[in-house]
Amino acid sequence: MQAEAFLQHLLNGLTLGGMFALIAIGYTLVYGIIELINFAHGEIVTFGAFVGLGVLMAVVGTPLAGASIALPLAFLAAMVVTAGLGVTLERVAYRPLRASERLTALISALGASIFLMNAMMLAFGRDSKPFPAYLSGPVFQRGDFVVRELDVFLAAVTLILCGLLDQFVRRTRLGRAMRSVAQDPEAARMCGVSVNTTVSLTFLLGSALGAAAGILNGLYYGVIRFDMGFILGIKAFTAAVLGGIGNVRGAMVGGFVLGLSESLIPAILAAPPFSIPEIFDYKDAVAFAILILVLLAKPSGLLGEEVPEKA
Amino acid sequence: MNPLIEVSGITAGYGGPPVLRDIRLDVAPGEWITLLGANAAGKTTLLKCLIGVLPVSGGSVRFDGRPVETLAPEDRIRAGMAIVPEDRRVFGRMSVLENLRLGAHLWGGGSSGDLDRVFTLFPRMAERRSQKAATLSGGEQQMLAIGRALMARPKLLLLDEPSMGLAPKLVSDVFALLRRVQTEGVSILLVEQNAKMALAASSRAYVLRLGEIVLSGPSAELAGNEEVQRAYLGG
Repeated sequence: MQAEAFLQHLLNGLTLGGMFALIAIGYTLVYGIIELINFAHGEIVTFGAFVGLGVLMAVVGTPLAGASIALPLAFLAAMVVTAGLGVTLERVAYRPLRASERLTALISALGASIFLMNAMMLAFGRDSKPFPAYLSGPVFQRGDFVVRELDVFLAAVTLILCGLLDQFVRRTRLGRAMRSVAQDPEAARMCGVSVNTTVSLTFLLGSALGAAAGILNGLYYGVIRFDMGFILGIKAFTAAVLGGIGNVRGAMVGGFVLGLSESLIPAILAAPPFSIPEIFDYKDAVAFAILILVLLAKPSGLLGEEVPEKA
Repeated sequence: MNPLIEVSGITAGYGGPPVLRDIRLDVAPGEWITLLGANAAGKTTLLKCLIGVLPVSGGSVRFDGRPVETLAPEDRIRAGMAIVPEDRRVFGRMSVLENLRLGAHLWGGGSSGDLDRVFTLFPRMAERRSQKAATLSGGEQQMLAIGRALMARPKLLLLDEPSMGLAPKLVSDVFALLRRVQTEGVSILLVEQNAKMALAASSRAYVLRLGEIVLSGPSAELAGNEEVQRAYLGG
């Protein structure tokens, strides 16, 4: 493979990985706190993308349409509104089942996912919606290798959001409360931590990051659709498991590992000496094969801790 | 003097037959009360009801002059209760300092004055402030659990068998510490199986058996009681 092509795949892998990481954090935060796989998280991401699209469409032709205003506006609005949806989802679909068996909440999550997907289909239509192009100019070009402004933007947004979240969880009073509930909910309550508030906060943060990832996804591929959260959600969940579910830094690492493998491994296998171009049709299979291999070697994930199953 | 906490006829359980029946007890401001009971007598259940992580199915609890039996734990802690739970329950993957700050969660994570007070009582905790709680010895974890509860600035400290699993020397350290805490004006409700020291340290005591209070009175009197001697003092 030529160096430029390799660099291009590397760049694609990093951008893809960043999106996976942002979404994976949402899965891992919720799982860490209430041991629930929030199947509706993919739909949360899709919803965020649509809110962002709404804002970008609304500012077309106005003085606000420039990237430096329109994009921050779209991100802010989408993150706030989607955080509200995430918090509401927990209130309606999960909180009433908190005391019941885990399987019950899991089924509720599946139901919430199907409900939201269909609601979005009714509201936004079945077709792909074009996403306005922003930041498409190149900042660097050498042969086939092009770095667009958008790639830099994607990387910056991902890194900033991951960094902020990491510091929030590690350094703030509320982040400490989140970790205490994750480790021992009853002991956390005995310290005066409100489990309900903490769980709401968890959904708020995960959904806001998911919304950001949804917009990034729209900007990157140029289209969004009501059901895009399904496969994106499965991939990001894979990333969360890969990194060690419940571990925030693990979700970030898992996202990038998955994005890079999905991009680089097929590219390497398609080029000589392997020369199997058909492999591109199987890139999802490659991603999941990686997951299986990692879990065989390290069942708790890359950064997961070996913790005994909770009673 | 009005009692700081007054428990009137509470009943509680986990869905099946009640674990606690018609419990009545009170603690005066500044007083140290001991609650004796064998395994499965309902001691831990009672403390969980008092701090509010387990709802009562009947009866009332007044704390500092107002009913608290329907309040969430955070509201009871804000009113002045704190608990040192059974088995310490420190957050093993967090540092000593983070554990202490969690104790003062409702006070913004605690002031440097709160921390100084705990570090004065437990110089060990100051030395190990950045160490993960899971790496501490059992005795140190117990000190951390007590320190964490003190960070909540309690008027009443509930303690669930703090001597459990500790060497005799450490047990007397814990008791000496609690006496110091008491002299600072904190009331103590101590649940224990280690009856000898608990009775010696407290002014009054209750005996809990199979979910009911079967004996109560001045600690010195109970220490001389034949049944107490047989059941708890190995006499």
